[in-house]
Amino acid sequence: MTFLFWNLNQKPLQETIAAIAVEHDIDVIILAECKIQVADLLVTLNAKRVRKYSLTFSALDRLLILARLPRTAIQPLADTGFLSIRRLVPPVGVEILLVAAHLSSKLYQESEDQSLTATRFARKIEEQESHVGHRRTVIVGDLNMNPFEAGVSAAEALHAVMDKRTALKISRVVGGEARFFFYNPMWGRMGDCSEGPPGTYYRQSNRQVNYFWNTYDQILLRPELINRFRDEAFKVVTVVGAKSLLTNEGIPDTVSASDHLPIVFALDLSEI
Amino acid sequence: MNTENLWGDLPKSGDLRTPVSILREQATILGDQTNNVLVGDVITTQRGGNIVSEFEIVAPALDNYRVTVLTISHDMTLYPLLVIRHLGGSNVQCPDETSFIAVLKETLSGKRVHQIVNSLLSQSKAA
Repeated sequence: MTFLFWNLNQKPLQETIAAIAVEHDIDVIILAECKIQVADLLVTLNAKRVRKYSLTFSALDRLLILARLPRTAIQPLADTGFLSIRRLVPPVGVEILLVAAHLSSKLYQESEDQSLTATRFARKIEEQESHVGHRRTVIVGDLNMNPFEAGVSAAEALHAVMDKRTALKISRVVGGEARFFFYNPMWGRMGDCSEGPPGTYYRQSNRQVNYFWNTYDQILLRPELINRFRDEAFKVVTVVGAKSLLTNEGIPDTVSASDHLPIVFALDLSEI
Repeated sequence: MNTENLWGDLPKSGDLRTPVSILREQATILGDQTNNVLVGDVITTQRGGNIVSEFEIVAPALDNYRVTVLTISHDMTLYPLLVIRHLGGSNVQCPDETSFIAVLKETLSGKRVHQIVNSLLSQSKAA
């Protein structure tokens, strides 16, 4: 099962989304900051396609989830603030919990607030994991925090670590309570020595601390999904067909594309 | 020697309605009005000295699908409180109970919430 996440920055990028969907054989498309009319988006996506995409139900419009799956395959569990939690039940294979996220921007929220919000989201996810009775959970979205920030890495928050072996220990006890890990493969996609661009979002500012490249767009996997994550399919997309999503300077082209880069990944959901 | 009362006249009983109790009343009304096809749920947690409560609409027939309508946050003095509206509309700081009830009314009777209630009712009946 292949997934695309992209924060569109309100740009009319339906042609590019459709091209990514073809190029990477995408099953589930998750979009943030999408101002494209859904009808237009579906017409573009479904042109000449046999397996057609449809919009899945959501009470919130902050995130759009489209899928070329049977209608019953994506079941809404919760829409809470900046998080949409779905039970993804493929026609064949194991079900997972899909959490789409678009957390508040640093422009509107202090880092400390973001971390506190992340702890609330972590509890929401745990509630739904209890509800469905498993922890095959993947979080994907624009977290508006880097992987090293407390809201993503702290035990009380999303508790996402850079190393599979650590994550495979399942949990650790902090303050007398077991805190379950996520594995965050985005750690491997930061900086010049990584595969692909140095991050997913570039921002120039006059602040003392400026990373320039940020990795706000992330995928976090519970240990139960690590062996199903296909490393070779995991991409921060910079080129779609002949079109580059970067400028000549190698930063996201905010004129013809978005200020965020799309991410693509795949999970093998077959019965093992 | 008589012990002096340094407390002044304390209230005989707490006569304030807490913001959480106001939310719970509205949760009950939602259940009554929809014959419990939809129910309201208020989840309260304590965070960093603040009491945070989330008001959610739950659709039992849809695998307990829940949508968070708003979150309120206040300290031990109850007011001022912050209302975070998840279904559109800006966040609002309410200085007292009257303004909180006004914001709550504006939110719950708003078009977006009614659209969602209608959609969830229809889907629940079809389920």
